[in-house]
Amino acid sequence: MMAYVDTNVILGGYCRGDPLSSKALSFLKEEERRKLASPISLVELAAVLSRIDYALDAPEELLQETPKRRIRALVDYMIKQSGLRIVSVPAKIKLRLGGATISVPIEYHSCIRFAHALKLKTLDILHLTYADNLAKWGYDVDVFATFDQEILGKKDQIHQLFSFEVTEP
Amino acid sequence: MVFISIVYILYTLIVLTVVPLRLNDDEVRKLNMLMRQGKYKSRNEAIRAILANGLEEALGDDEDVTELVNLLLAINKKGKSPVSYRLKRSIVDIVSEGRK
Repeated sequence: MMAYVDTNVILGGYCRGDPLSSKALSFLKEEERRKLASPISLVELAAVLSRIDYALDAPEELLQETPKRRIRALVDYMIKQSGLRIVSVPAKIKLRLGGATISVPIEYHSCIRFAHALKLKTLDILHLTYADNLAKWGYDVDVFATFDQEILGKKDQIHQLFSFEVTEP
Repeated sequence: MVFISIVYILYTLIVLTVVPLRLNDDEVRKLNMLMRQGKYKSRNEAIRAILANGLEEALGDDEDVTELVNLLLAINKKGKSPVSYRLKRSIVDIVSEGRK
């Protein structure tokens, strides 16, 4: 069994004083499920870490680095420390748009397909479709772990569309 | 089989661009060695495969932060948490805000 881990859960473990910190840490430590994330998680991690860099408490060696190297190292560290495997489906889909045909990652195609049904924000739906395509590709994804209340609020709809369950760690 | 070969030749002639490339003796010997090892059918195929790999890396321009990551992992191994954030707002709100 595998869990796709949303970015807020990965980051939750590093936020001192955040009420969800201990929940995130114990979820990431439990060994029952292999934990997965996607390339979009790396992008989002880098973006969020850049926005909260002012609040970072870390060893001097890291603080003295350029922001570019510091953020890159933090993303790498968090992925390793959380035991996450970064995966995606190596498939593209042809889309016909305005008389032309373009080739796009399969997750983008899924986002367009499911957008009307879920009415979620772009990155929310992208994470969900990454998880869905991984499940369809053969990864045993049965859980989508998130603290995002909007996604959690639609967990029944999501379960009807996709094979996994949305849970809060 | 003949048909497939003709299609392949036509494909390479029509779709692929010819780029003149000068190699030194050593490089040619190494390519020949790869062919003898059965890894590639031709020098052309070998160069294209190796170049494709190298191009992906070169385009990535990725930072090597292994030392920094190892430092953080070593601190963590000692039972200390090397990285933390002191935020006034919940991380869930901050992540969610970035998705708007």
